[in-house]
Amino acid sequence: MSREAFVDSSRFEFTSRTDYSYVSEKGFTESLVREISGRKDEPGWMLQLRLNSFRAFSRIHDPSFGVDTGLLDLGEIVAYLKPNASRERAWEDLPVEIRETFEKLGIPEAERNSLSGAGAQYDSEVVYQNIKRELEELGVVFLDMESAVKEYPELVKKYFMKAVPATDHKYSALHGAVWSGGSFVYVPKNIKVKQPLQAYFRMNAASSGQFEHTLIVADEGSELQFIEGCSAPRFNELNLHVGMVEIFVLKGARVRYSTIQNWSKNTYNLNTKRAIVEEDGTMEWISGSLGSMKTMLYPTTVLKGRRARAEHLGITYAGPGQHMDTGSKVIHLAPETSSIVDARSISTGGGWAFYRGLLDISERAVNSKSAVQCTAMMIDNDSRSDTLPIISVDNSSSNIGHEARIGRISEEQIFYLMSRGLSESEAKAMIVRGFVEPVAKQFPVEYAVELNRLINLEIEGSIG
Amino acid sequence: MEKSINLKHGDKTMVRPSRKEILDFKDYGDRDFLMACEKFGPPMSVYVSDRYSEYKRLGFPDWKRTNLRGMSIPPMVSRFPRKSTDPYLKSMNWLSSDEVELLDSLDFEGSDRKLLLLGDIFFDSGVILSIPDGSVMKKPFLVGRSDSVEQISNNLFIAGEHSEIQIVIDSKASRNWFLQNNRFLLKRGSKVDVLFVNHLGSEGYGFVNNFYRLEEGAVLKVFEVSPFSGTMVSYHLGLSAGKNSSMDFEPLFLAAGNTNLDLQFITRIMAENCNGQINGTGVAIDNGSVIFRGNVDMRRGAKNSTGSEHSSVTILSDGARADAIPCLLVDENEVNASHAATIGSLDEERIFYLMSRGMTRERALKMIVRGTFEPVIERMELLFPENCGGLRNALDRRVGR
Repeated sequence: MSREAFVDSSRFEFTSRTDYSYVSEKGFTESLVREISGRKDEPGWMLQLRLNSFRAFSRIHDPSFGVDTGLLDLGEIVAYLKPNASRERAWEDLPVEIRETFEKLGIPEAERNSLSGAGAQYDSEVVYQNIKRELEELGVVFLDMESAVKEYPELVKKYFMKAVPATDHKYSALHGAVWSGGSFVYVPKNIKVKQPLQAYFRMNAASSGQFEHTLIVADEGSELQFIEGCSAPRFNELNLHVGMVEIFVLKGARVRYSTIQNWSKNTYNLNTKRAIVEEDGTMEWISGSLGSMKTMLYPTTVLKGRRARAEHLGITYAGPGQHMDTGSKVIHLAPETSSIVDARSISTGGGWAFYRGLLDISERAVNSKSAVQCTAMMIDNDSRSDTLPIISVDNSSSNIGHEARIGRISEEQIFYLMSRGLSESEAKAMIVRGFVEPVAKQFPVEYAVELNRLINLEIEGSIG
Repeated sequence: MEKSINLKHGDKTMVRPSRKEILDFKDYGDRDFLMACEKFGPPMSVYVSDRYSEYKRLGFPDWKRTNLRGMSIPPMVSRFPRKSTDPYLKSMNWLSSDEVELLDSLDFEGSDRKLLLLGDIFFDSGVILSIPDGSVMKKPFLVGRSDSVEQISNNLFIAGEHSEIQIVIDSKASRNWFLQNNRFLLKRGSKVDVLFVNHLGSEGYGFVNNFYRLEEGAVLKVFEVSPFSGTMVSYHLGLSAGKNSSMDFEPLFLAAGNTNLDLQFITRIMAENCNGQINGTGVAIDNGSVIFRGNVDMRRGAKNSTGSEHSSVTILSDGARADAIPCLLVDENEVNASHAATIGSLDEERIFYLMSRGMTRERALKMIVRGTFEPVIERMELLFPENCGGLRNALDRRVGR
């Protein structure tokens, strides 16, 4: 029996000729950190934060787990590329090549049809940021991170790198030193943003790094859906993505953060995402991790307030050449907190999908509940799927359940579908779509279609 | 050497977790090594010398979850073994070159390489038990009952083709430190049942490292009971190297008082039509803590094999804690691999029901614990009827003291 499957990402692998107003030297130095801060005309406290982060980066070792980063030479990475474009609120005002790039990716159309606002980052800088006027009038803030540092310094100071301090790990320190771009969202008390906001990140240059910072503060009783998408053309050289997402869900608020990650297969994706949830707050992470060569990403929810809840739902795809070390962490710190984790993965063509999870129920988190489920599908015999969830319980009144299952597509399922008139490859594709569906249906419909289209499995061969 | 986890897949590598060491640990030195060597025959001397050079390079592990910082190892005991009258039994000290070669081929990592090597070099008792092809042993072979002073033991058990044997490894109560390495070779079609009973003094440390290699059609059943106090680290790695082999681990544990249990079971399947099962059942009470690690490792070639792991821990006191670390590693797609873990709480409704029938809370707790363990003990009793009565009483005594 022979089977092949792959994610069709050709639509994202085009390059654009771009003018840059500034390109930094390769590598990471203190003078680069000062240069970035100076070019952004940042206040002194932000420069100090960057310098402290850089010092931490210089002394912290690589993580002692996860993917091997031996091939990644940080001295070859260009940390900062400023496109020759100013930040606009209308697509028409962008330089043609940048506008065309985002049009090919379907971002303006998505904004018109189904979004409350959109941001677009091209290499190191946000080139487009817009939010519907009526939301702006309600006090919703949706800005690029640089503008937020200047316009909302107190809010940013209070929350920036407080969920993930620079000393958390080597790459959070690097991020703190050279972050550039990203979004800042503040939703005032009791405001419910009906349609999602979206940020799209595009890397367009070889050997470049992208370090965007997303900071979301959902004030008491508010609601927000945020969608993040990313892609890059494929180069022979390695690209690096070290982004960070920090979300603060205040009392009774609800945030859903959805990601479709489709970096090109030459990218190291070493991303950090963390949410702090207060009393009665809800955090939902919906993740589709499809691209990159190597990924280490474990969205984390800290349930800090009583009855806070978290939901992590993710699909990871590890195709040819990919090593995806993904997972989730939920830390229960308060009583009556609850969490659900549903992690799915598909490995094919020699790819390696590794689920790494942590569920920690602290002594104070009495009467908490959690259910963790991992399911992995191996399409062929060249691939590998592993799961390693760590479950730690420190009190006697919580109930935790975990289940995991790894296997191939069963012959019985294929046989049944073929008996109903489907070909073998159609049957397999249908089973894979069914496997992905619980995650896909959590995305807005346009994105669910996109995710399904991305996981366009082409299965060949016959049962011999 | 059989490692606990495979960190490579094709051209991809996973980062090896860093190994931290306790810096100021008072270790055995060259003089202890020379004392240990005095009692070995020439082939064994060469074997332990090789291992000693590796041993010296390593420090004692500074684990994150099980703290060994307060531990000290007892003074070296050098004793010449007595001659055994059992025709199948021989001292580990006087192995032939072929036997040493076999011992070397059954090398593994253990809970930590340093601790494994310590047992391989500085053991003060050790046997090689070799059951001939086709023999069926009527009575269980007992290890650890006849000699109360042993603290480090190193054993090799060989079940000949189509032989059958039961082994009881009972570490004696009241000791404060022991370490045991056991290697098992199950030849084609053999059947081996093992019962471990891990006793330990309240401030003690116990380490058990076990490696099982199964040839075609071999069947292994392991029960382990860890009902006592102290810090107990137990490691079992079963390797199905031959097709149609089967292994089944059924640990039962009670972490009461200040007990710390760190239990690891690995089923590694490398051949077709094999079966590997891990079923752990335990209770944590008082200030007891349990770490239960169960790895199902399906390697390339394990076609049509099944690997499953299930652990269930009930926490009955606010001071108790439990960690479950189930791990599934799958390198072959034509397999069934699954795991499930539950950590549950004290069901106050059950307690209330029992108390409403006139029981004290302590009695009700005892009954719930007994109810948790009884199905496993009943299965154990079928294979080891003489060892289970005492276990029931011992488990009962540990709850609600």
